Amino acid sequence: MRKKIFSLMLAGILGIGMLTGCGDSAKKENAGGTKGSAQAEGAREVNGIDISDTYEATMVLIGSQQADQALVMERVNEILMRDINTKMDIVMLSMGDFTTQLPLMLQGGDKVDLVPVINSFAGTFINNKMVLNLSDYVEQYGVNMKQAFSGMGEELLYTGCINDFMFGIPVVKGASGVSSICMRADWLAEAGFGREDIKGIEDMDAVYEKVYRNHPETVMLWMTKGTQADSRYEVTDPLTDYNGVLLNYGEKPEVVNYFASDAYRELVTRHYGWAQKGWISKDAATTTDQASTAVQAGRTFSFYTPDGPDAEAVNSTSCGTEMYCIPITEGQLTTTGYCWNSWGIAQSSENPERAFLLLDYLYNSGEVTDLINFGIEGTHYIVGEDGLYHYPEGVNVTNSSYTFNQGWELPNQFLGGIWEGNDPDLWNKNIEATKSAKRSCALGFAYDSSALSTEIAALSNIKNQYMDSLNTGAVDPETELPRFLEDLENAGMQSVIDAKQAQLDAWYAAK
Amino acid sequence: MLKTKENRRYQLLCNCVLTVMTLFMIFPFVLLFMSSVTEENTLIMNGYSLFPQKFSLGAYQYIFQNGQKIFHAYGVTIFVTAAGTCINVLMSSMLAFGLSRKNLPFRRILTFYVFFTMLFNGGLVPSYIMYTGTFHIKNTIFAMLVPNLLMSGVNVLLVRTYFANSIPDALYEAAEIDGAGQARIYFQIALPLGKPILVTTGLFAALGYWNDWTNGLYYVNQERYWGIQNLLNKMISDVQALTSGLMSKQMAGMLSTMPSVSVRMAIAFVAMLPVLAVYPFLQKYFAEGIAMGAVKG
Amino acid sequence: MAKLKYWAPVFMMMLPGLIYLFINNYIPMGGLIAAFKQVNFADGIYGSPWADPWYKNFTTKDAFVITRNTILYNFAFILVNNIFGIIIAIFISDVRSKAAKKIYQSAVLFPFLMSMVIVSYIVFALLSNENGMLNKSILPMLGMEPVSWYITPEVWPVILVVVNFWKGVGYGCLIYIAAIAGIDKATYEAAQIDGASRFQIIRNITLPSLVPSIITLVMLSVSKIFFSDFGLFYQVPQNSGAVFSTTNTIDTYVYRALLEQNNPSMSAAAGFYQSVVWFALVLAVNALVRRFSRENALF
Repeated sequence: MRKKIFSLMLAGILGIGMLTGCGDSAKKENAGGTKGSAQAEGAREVNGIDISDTYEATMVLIGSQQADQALVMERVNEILMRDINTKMDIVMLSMGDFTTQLPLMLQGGDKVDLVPVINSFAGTFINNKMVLNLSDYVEQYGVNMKQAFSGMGEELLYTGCINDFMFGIPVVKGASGVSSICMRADWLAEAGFGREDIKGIEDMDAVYEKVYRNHPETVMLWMTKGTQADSRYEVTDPLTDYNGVLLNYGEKPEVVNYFASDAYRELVTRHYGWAQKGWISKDAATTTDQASTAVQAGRTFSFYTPDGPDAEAVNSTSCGTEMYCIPITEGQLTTTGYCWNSWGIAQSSENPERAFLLLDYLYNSGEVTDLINFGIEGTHYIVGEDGLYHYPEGVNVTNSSYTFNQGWELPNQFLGGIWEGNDPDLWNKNIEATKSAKRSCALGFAYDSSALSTEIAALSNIKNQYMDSLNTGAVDPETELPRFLEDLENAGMQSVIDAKQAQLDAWYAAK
Repeated sequence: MLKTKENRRYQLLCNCVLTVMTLFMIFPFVLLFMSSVTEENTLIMNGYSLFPQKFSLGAYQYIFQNGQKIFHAYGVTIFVTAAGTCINVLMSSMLAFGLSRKNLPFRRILTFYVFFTMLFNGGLVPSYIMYTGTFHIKNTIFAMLVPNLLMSGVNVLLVRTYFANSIPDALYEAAEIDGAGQARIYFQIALPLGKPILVTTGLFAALGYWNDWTNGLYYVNQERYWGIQNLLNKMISDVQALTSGLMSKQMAGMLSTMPSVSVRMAIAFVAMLPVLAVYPFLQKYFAEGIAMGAVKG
Repeated sequence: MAKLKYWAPVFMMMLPGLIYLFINNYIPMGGLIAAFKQVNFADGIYGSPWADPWYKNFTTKDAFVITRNTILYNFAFILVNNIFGIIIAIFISDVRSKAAKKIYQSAVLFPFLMSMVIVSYIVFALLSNENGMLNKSILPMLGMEPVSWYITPEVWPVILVVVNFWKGVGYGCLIYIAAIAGIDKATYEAAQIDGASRFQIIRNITLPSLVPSIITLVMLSVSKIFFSDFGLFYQVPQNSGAVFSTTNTIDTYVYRALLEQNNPSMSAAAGFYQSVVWFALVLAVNALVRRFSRENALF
């Protein structure tokens, strides 16, 4: 009996040994493999960075895991090994887990190289030294990325800075903020209107009046939790967090409290009036059902959308009926909008130069971009006669073994293909839109929030508490807006505005 | 005569109150089930309801057709629950066996050693660093198995108390006189006599594993090691992320891959099903165990 | 020496458990030092500079709210779950039909087995502002206006107490049932022969004999008054910011500080505060229990 126990325990201990041993041996194998190939390559240099040793880099992406990820990465690595002697591993985090897992990985010192930085987190990322300052790297090695932005204005490349700290390189994209109202074409025609009848938001009252009479069971304007009304008008420069903004497309460097402005009062009052008439759903402040689902269910007539030049095509597809998207603002370029997501290099990177080289490489590789975004040509997608990418026959979104399709987060999606249902000339249209967009006078400026973390946490709690219900017209602004403003004031809004103003002035003077 | 009448009235009162309570306890599950068989558009138009206008088994069809992920997660949960529970019971009963022996050297210190773990915990980050950095369990099945759930101080102390109270010293002495070693005493005396408490702590360990979603959230980012609760949690958190405004602009494309409302409800119901299925058989042990645990603990 | 030889196999058996506790519980405790540091990720927890002043991480505007919420909720939970638990237990024990008894008993315990994720799904089906059963079917039927539950902080104390009651009452209830079953039947019969009414029997026999169980359960809950069920307070309100003022507890604060604000120092400080207060409470409760019944004391 005793023997049995001991052997059992031994097995247990061995099990634990295996647990740790496994990791080690796997690591060793890898290391051996890389050495061999490195010797074969001999000494090499790219952009002044020595690449004679193979580097294994890890990139974090937001999205769902793909069945054929290993297969695709094999192809990606063939290319990367050929050109920059680098092997890349992708860690895919779902968008819900992203906010939990990434901080944990960075705090826990996991080996990570390239990380997406969402601009509202940039401040904490810098303060906690989670990412590296890229300023010097860009100047020294950023060949491809400078090239990538040259078409739209090289200053856009530098929008990922707070003071002198460059936390990330923005992804290449068009100007944001052509906000539109997207509505069902059939219901609009039925009510006797055409798209030319709508010039701005003021014209919507008459339209909703009539459409609502035809469809009294539905809501006119679909809004959801987190539909921040201001982002639907996008006429301010939010300076990262809306705690103090530059009004009117950021025309002058004067930081004011947006929520106390006439523009905001007008907005919430209008929505309140609409909600009172039943035009906005009572559930809007908390619902999570997306507008396209609601249109499909025949529940709503219209919704705000911030999409770019292809909004109409995209929304018509997702809603399953023809949609008109009528712009209610002009295009706008702000640091916040342009640098919403950028690519940073984690503090724990073992070789930041090589990680940066990889990042720079991605800014100029349509091949890799397409591989990561759509998979392998012929297997996961085919290029149609129209130049757009399609699923091969018999493959669709539910059975495809690789359908990542999140070009917006890849460094330079303008190099890649365009998926069916979009405008084939999408990238050029985006570039044009960016050139003609109104530029905020604070483009390139982002403020340092490190000394204000308590105030900002308090302010964001207060905004969470009030904004959804105010923006969706669920509560009366006559009574709620003053309470909101008072709470913001108590939470330190003024001190944040003052700090922002001082930093902006200093930035302006330096420029 | 009067008394029986009063008794009858009292019985009526009891049954009425308890029936109301039973309905209150059961009704949410019925609602969950009904939502999962409500037709999607009806659900969006008319809301959740016990008596939906239009039924549809579409959600379950979806699960069975696109179900590899769900069934895989199911398999992971079952495996982790089974393996984790066995190890848990074995480890805590062996430790408790020692602690329950009155003459064990360092008994007080060791008991306090176990007890102290109930007081302080270092928080998530140090645990994370240790488990991923030193033990490399990230993205392995051990991540679902080892952290926090494998053994708890409370259980050890519960079992210890039970052993100490229900196994008389005389029994140990007699066994030793018969020439039995300590291992044999553990297997042939302690385990059989401690069965009630072991079943109970085992059941609670199993429940802990079945319902856990935190280990998967922190230590696993590859879906192949996710359990069913992680899948459920991911669906909620994805919806939350979408609607928090933080991510909403760029993420619209991910919507197409997100299960619809009734599918989410159906998956929740499927996740609950096994508990529902084994509950009638194990209920006795739960009830006994809870009663015993609190009185002694 | 003989003694060592005698106990060696026992120690061998205890070893895996002791090692596990050391790894899982003791090693990470070093991380509590983060509470007194200004942690940055480049230097790690141990290498980061000390906080200045040392109590910096403990001073936060939320401290009052999270402490108040945690304690008040626990008081409400203790009160509601024990009172109703006792009532239900008495009724179940007195029901004559065996089958009915079994059904009631099963029903009362069943929600206890559900994961909080599933509970949050169910609560959402009930409370969802537009689609929820309450707003869509029940309130209109009663002629009442729908309520936007997830943005109305005032309603959450009630919702959470009800949800917690629904999920947790079975646990205490079963303990009380067991205690009632332990009462000598002869006492009851004697009382009945003496012509005592039901109410009198409950008041004079059942309740007094439940006192030890009540004390044990309440003591256990009181010592945990600084802890809250993370799932209940995080998942069930769907992490809705609008209701933080009534749903934020120490445990959710620890989580949010760590992973949403990336502030391990403040997170560790809150955890430390929680543990220290709990330690004090456990010592106090234990001292109290010792005074009344030595054998029930933990140490």
